[in-house]
Amino acid sequence: MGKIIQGSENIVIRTAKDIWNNRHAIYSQFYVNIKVTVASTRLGILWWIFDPLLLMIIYYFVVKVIFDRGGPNYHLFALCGIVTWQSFARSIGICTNALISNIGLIKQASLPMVIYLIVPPVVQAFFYMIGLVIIMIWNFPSAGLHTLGVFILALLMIMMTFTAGLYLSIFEGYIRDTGKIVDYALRFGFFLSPILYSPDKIYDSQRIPDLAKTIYSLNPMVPFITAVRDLLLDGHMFNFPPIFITFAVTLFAMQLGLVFFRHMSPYIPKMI
Amino acid sequence: MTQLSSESFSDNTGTMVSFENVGLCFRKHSSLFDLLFNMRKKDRIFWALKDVSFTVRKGEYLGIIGRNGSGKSTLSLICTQIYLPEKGKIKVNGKVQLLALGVGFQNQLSGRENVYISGSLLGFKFSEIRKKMKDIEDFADIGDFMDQPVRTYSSGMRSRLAFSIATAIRPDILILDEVLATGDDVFKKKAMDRMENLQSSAKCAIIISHSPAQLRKLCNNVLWLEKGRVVMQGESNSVLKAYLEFCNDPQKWKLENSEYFPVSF
Repeated sequence: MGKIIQGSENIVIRTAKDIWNNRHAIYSQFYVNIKVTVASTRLGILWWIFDPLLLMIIYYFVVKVIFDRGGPNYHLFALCGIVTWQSFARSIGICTNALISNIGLIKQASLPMVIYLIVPPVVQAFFYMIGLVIIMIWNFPSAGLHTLGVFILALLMIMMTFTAGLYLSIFEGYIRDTGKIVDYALRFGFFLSPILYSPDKIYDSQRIPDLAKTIYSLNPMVPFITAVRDLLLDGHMFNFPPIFITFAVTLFAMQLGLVFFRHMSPYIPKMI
Repeated sequence: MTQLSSESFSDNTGTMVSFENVGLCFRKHSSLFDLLFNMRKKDRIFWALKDVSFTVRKGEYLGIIGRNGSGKSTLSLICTQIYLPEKGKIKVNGKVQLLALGVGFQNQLSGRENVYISGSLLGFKFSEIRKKMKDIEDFADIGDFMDQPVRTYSSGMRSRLAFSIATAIRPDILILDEVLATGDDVFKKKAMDRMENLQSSAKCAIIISHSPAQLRKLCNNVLWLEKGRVVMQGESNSVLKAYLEFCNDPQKWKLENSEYFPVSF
């Protein structure tokens, strides 16, 4: 097997440099992603708003009308969970495929491969912000200085999905079944995350063993969605420790992921 | 162990690219189903390149010729360091760029937008693209279509725009992989001139083609690949002459020139 001679520079710094040096390519790919989704449709930009709203209506119908559950303001409660999950799941799905679907560009453009992983999370974060702004406007009495906290959450979202992409895109290159497994894991994750229900439902339940509750609390989407609801529905700053821990774990996993990606990605073009 | 280094190395012979016994293989992994039911336990290995050695010095234009599937494009992807070879040594001294048409083109977006997209993917800053825009526009010569979506273009217009963007690059080592056949005759003439211009601004070039006429015009040396191995390399005319004879009747040529085709071929 081949070996690449590398400098001793820290992997995070080098990745930051790669991103900075290729910022124009990242921007143009961001632009392409944003523009192409609307350029082919009649409603164009309006889809950015309709997408989350239509999803909300579907889940509202299922939970409120069919199952007769959920409390007052349930539509906004669900919307917070849905837009967050949507951004997370789409971003991870696209990142998993990022190297395979861009193989043509990888062969022609000679950009560092990590660039193809940074674009989808940023694009999805853009759509995420639109969803959050809709909720904010809808529930404007809860707005305030704490609302700016959404930027912290959006950054965390980008970092989390980028980190997942570092591992998953490589696995996908070697074993094509990864995409399928990720797809099912995300479907399952939808119900394991407090999107349509409150996490208290799990914690207060008598039927669920404590061990399962502990495992449940390890899901980063639990503190994340709770934080979104704190900011936009209840109108106060989110609880710092869980978000801080999620940040720390993500950073650590990202550092490892970058090393892993640097070592494995040179072999990927040949695998595809 | 392969050692791949893109850092410049001091070499008083002016070597820009050198390959030493380079070999590259693709593995076809068998699926779990095959393993269980077909008893084919081994992954299949296919050597796309075997024992390839050559050097390109400053000011040289190396042509690579060979039939389909002989490993020409694989070789170009090793030069751009997209593929890591399993065997041998490679040295590349300078910025390599594969001249590729329509990199990242988006059919829904306008020609002008695509210039920015393609340009940025090839490593230009937006400010640099803005400076080149007029030149690119003039050369593509597609008039008002510049602001129309690329999907409305004819295939000729599309490749003209793609060609003008691609040739705006100025790498040290230029790799051309079958890009010369675009557009009508007027454009072809313009393209050929620009190509020669581009070549003279690069420090060296590797030109991949299966047209001997083109290579005779552009290259000093030619390397002939067949099934991933070098059959012959040297001065253009003699290699191309042999290649043409080979193409007329490969079997006969192989028998008559067995020194170039060892039994293991």
